[in-house]
Amino acid sequence: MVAVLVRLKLTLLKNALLRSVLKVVGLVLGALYGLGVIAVSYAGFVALRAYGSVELISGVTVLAFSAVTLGWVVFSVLVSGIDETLSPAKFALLPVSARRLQPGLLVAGLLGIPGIATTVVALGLVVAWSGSVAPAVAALLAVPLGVVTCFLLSRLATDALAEMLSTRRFRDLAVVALALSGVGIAVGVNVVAQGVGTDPAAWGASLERGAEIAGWTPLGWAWAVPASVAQGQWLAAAARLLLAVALVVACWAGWRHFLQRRLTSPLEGRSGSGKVRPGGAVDRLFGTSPKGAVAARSVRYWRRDPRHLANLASLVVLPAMVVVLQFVQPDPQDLVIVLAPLTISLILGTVVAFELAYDGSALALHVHTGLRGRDDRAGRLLAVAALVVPLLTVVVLACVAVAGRWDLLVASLAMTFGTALVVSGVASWISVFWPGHAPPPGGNPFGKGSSGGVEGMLSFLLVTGVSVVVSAPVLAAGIASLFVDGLEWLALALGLGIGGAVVAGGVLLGGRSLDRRWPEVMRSVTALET
Amino acid sequence: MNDIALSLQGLYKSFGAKVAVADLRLDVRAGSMFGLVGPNGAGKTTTLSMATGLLRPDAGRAVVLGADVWADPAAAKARMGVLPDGVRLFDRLSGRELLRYVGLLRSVDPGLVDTRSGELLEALGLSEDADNLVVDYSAGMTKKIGLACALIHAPRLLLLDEPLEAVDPVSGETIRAILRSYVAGGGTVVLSSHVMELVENMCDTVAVIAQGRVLATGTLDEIRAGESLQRRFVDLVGGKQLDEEALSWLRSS
Repeated sequence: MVAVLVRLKLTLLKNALLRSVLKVVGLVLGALYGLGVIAVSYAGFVALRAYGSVELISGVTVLAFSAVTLGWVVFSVLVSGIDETLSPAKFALLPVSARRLQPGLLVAGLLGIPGIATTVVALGLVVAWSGSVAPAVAALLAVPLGVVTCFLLSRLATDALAEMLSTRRFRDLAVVALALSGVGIAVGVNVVAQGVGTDPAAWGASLERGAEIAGWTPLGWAWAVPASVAQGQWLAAAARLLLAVALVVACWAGWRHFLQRRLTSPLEGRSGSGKVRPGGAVDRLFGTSPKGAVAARSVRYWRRDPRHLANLASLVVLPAMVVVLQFVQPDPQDLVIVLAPLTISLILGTVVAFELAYDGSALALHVHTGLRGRDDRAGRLLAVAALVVPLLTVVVLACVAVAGRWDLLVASLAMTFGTALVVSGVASWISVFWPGHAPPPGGNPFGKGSSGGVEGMLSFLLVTGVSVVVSAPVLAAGIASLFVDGLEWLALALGLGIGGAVVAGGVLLGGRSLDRRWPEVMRSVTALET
Repeated sequence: MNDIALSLQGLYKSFGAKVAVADLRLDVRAGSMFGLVGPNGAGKTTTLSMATGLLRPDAGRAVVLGADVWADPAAAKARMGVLPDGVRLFDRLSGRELLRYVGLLRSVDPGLVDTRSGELLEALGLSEDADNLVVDYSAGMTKKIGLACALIHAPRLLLLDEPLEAVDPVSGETIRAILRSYVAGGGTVVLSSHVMELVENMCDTVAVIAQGRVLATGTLDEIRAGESLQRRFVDLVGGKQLDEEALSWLRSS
């Protein structure tokens, strides 16, 4: 079974690569990045082995590998998504049990750039501890445990969240959990940073303390085994080994539970069921023009589609992280807090840009009805505005209030809204050329490609780059207003003026391109559907 | 000039090395019920996609009631209603919301949208589920709501890809009645199917396509030439006889 699944995964990968140049580029870039990480970390391991004391090796390896484990979970949830090439739902009709699938799915799941890179880097643990025999043997034992823990924890986290997002009852809870996890990480990073402080003399001690703490969390149990052995703490080593094994076993069982669920009831179709109230305020708000209809439909999707909700949560995560990060510091920077809402404006581009991809083949309706491209663009922007304008206003007010800098209110409003307008306009235009693709609605919202793949990445970079250049005058005036009184009003005028012009331009240009490019857009957004 | 409702002129489409549709020519007379039949992979859906603006042809034109789909899409699309196959609907909307959405996109008067969608939901037996999300509909119900979407702006040409697939016999009969009265009122229907019985009962004109080409086209009786459509179809397409010994392991008894 393992061989069958691995072969299946490789065949699927090969076919995907043969069909798309962008995928090849993505793979090559990813591989280069992975090689870079491996090279740097091995240089570190060798240096540790040669010059490091037992305490130093313990501190660095335990902290670094605990961070890697946390990174797996955080990245798969918030950034990259998990590889759904071998989605368990696809095996639903075959007479295979979760128990039989599991080993194969584990191996196939690790057979990707992140998995391979993590495994290779983890083997460096053996190099770092190769100074004496006992720790080296312990490291050899710890590596597979640690790597498997990385994979299983990330699976469990995404499966649990996907499950929550697909049921109405827990949907909002899951969004909040997502947002809070970002905040939690920010606090964690800061606490560690504070513990270390800026005094180099205190480094050694804090490193040791941090490693000791991390080594007793589930993230570090496995990785800390060789360290305990090297320090002669046999009892701690045994306890950690036991805990690490128990964790793997528990995760394995938990994963099997979710696998079984997806084998018998795929996420698809269970999501968003129930009656909806007919008519309603949404229709009245946007009117009955085609543009208004698109806006009303978009707003409904924001509410009913887990993928949109996950996206919405990620909008709030970044500014929350920035603010909280400032707060746990000894002297919070008022300015940073006041500027935090700007991060929402910058990520807003992805939200606008992914709208087409999220629709998938349902977009055919817009083509069949002969909807004008500019009505499509304008309608979606209206919907985004209906959600983001209140959100931005609240966040700006909150940040200004928290910082106690009401004198910066106008400047903050000008920069935040000016940039938001520019980004939306630019994204409306550029996303027509690189709409990307997303897993179908009802699919796993954390599936790979939930952030658009390479094409999505390209369009994000392009949108952000162009937007920063275009909104430079607004940002310049806003920042200058810190020193010259009255400039904030210029920033506000510039923000609304430039932003308004860019939105109008984005709608018109994007609309015209869309009218010409419907078939190409359709092909791109249906790339993941079969 | 508008005697021809749909005219496909030398449509050509290839995907890489695979030619899906090759120089396909077809004229559909206004007021006819036109059946497009062909084996799996014959290019039916590809052809309909090119005629409705979803897929850009490599060469050739598609003209709907005098308007070129690719040169004057707005005019062409306003005149046709489409039921695509293998395409998602905006299924996080309820049936009623979806119909309203389509109506408004097509700039139908909002009051008219409401009355028409009420009548369509009633006729197709979807009234009870009108406020349920389309994602929870069965395959047949999804087909029916798709058909309602194609009808809501009272188009003069209907392009239906597998309109009765997965639809239960009672609703199937309703849909047939709707389509018949639509054609009697001067509308034109082009439907694709591989159910010969459906085509034989419903259509007055038929085209048989295979490997992206039109093998035969004409009135139903011309194509049948005295035999059953099924028989003629298999002859035209080239059916293959199942060997006596083939798949013998399936006979378990």
